[in-house]
Amino acid sequence: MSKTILTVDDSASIRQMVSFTLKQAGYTVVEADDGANGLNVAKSNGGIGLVITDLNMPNMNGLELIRNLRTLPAYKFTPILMLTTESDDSKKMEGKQAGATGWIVKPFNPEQLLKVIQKVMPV
Amino acid sequence: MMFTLPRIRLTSGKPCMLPMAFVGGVGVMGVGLGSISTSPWLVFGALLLGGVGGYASRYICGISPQTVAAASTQHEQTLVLASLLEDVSADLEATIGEIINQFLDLAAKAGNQSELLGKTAGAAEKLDTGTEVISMDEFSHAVAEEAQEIVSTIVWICKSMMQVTYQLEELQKHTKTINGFMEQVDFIAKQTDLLALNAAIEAARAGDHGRGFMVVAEEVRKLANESSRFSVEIRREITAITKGLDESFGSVKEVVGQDMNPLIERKVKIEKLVELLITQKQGVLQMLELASADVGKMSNNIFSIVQGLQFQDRIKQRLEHVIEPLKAMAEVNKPQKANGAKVKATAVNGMSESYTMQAEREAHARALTKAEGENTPPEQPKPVKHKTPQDDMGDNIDLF
Repeated sequence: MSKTILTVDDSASIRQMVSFTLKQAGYTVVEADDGANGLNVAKSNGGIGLVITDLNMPNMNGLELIRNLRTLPAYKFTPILMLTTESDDSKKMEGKQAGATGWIVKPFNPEQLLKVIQKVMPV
Repeated sequence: MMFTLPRIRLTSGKPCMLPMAFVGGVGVMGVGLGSISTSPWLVFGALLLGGVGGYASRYICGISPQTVAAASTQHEQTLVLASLLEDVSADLEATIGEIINQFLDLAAKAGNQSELLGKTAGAAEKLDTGTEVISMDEFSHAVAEEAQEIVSTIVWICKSMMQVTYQLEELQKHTKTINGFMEQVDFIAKQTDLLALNAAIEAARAGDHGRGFMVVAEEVRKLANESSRFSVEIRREITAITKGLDESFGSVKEVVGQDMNPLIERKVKIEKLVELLITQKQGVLQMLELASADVGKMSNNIFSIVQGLQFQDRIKQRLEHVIEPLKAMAEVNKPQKANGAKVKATAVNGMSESYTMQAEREAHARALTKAEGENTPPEQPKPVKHKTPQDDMGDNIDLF
């Protein structure tokens, strides 16, 4: 499994923190600032092993991004984690139905994030 | 519900404190919204109070209630407030982003330092001799063993030298004995010469009969003279040997006479110096390890601070959820709008639909209740979440 992770978030500070956490743990990280850009990055980069995306973003939200990714053969089974401030159960259900692998509510704890990643993307 | 809003930048963007009464929300709303006193506006004021709070106080520098009031209509005043909040959000994001950058840089450098200190401590613990890497304990033992070996060798040499002095003394005695024998040889040679001379005289007296004997006596004299000459040569050689032996004996005696105590004291001193060196090095090692651990903790602490800065993302969203209704209200307050009151109420009530955090929805509900003068409804029991094996990651994580 590839150790490259795509993080999609419109908040630069969250992208910085996610990137820093993952890079420290030895992962390669690529970033995108909204769902549309995230989809483009995913399409142009075939080696992504996991996607972490925010829910509410301009241009294309996280749910749409997941739905689009799941139509691509390369991302049919790729683990996708939602990292969002939203904690509503109905939204989580929407995420699950869209094809999300897991749901993490911000603020996140780096150690927890790494644990989840190791669980859904074993090396 | 998007509007094209002219960006009204009234501040220099530099942080400063404003009276909390103004920025806290109620004051802003009081001045900004003038006579509007319907429930939705109070809801909005309360939301501002809860959502913007102290962050606005640091960023809306130079914006006085008078500035907001200076806008001629409620429509303009609302636009000013919306723009201000957008500025607050943008400034907050930019500033927090910069702070995070600096902190992450600091954390990375602290991490590197910790690693370097750890490596230095590791290096201080070992000694590379070129052929092998040994520990400081091994170094200490090796130096002590070498020092002991040197002392033992010197002591063994001294003992051997003592043996040599005894043997030289014996040789000196033998040379004296040989000298005594050589005197005897000289004496015998002289006596033989004398006897040969007498024999020659007697042979001369015997005339022709003694002529043969004369020849023998002459040969005996020659032999006696040869013996005497060899004796002189031998004595000269023996004298040279005796002189050499005497000099060797003196030199060896000088070596043997050396006091061994200073040497042993030096050996003890070397051992103590090595011990001191190791003790000091261990002290430095401990300090390096402590420093490495402290710097490592510092890196973790910095990262914890950075984690804490995630609040910016939440604040940004909450501000956005206030800005959008503000823009809607500005639209409503346009003088030509006929059904303003209805849209106004819709705008405030519709706010909750844009929320992305449970905390926002709860704050909205509380504000509504307060504005309408109703008692706070009893808190609904939260649904019990059944734990699954995947839930051990934490309360804020769900794996599907």
